[in-house]
Amino acid sequence: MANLKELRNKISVVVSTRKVTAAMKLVAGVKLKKAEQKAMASREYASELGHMLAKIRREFLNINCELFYGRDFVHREMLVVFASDKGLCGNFNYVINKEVSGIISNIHAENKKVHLICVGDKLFDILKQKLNDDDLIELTGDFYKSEKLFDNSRKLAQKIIADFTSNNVDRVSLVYTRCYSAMHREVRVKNIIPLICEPNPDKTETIFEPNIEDVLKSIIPYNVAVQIYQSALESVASEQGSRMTSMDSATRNADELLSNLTIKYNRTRQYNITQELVEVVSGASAVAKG
Amino acid sequence: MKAKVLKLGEKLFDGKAIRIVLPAVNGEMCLLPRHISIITPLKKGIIKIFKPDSERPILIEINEGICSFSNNEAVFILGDQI
Repeated sequence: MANLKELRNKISVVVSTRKVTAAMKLVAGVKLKKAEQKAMASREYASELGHMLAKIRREFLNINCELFYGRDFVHREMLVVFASDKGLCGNFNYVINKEVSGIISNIHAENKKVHLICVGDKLFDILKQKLNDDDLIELTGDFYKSEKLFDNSRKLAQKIIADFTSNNVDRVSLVYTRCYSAMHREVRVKNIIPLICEPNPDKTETIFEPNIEDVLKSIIPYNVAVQIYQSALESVASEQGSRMTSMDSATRNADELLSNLTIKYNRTRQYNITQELVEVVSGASAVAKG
Repeated sequence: MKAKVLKLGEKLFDGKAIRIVLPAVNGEMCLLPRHISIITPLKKGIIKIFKPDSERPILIEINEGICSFSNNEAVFILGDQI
């Protein structure tokens, strides 16, 4: 039997842990609501902008724009991975890590190189170990600050486009977690350079004013920034959702542990009392016999 | 025709229109139903949306943006420094 003092200490530790996890659950719940609203508010904007470009009927165009068409040979692929800056968010980072590891293995299997940009530092060290010597990895810290998020997205978009135009990378994809609800998330891979073509029911030729080159030159970088921004918002919402559910299950586990420990404590206390009573009774009967 | 005016984090208009006047980079332009597909950046100015049930247009002031018309639907993506 464990001693009572030990059990009391354990109970008080579990009680204080439970308080922390319950508070974190509440905080994550509030942050999730805000993050979800923000992500939902710009979801249509980002998707309409992406569709606008993806639905351009390429057979009518006679331009040379690698940002739009992509390159025939891909030597190095860039992956922009949206992980979290903070821990205690359940399997959020684990799921992204699993997906990214799979993509990296596929790229290596095709004898291509990887350029990884980690947004959020939690996966940086883990993903670093999965890369070969000639692969590249960068960390973009402090990205998710809400007041600077769009500016940060713009800067990252400029960097990505500079890397693409200087032939450092030949294809760019975003890996992020799409948030459907607090319980439902999904890791997604979105190609941003080049854009994947979508079918367009409108069979007529599209007019570009003033000309196609100027239009694409301004829309493509803006689209890259908006898609990065939207991915970051989805990622923040997913992280908070994951944190909320994991803190909820931690609180439930603490409750269960607390109830088991309380039963154990009461049993031990009762055992000790019974033991003392037995000793007193047997002592008294020994005295009476003597 | 349908029309949608979107700003980052906000939907300014979503509904039917019979005529839209917009400030394209090359000058003011008018979109009518079944207009040919077009994509054009927008400059600072005012988008006027004429609805079927009202004579007065809805006026939306913009800084910059992109307009796309395809499949009888106009989509306006508004933003800064596009």
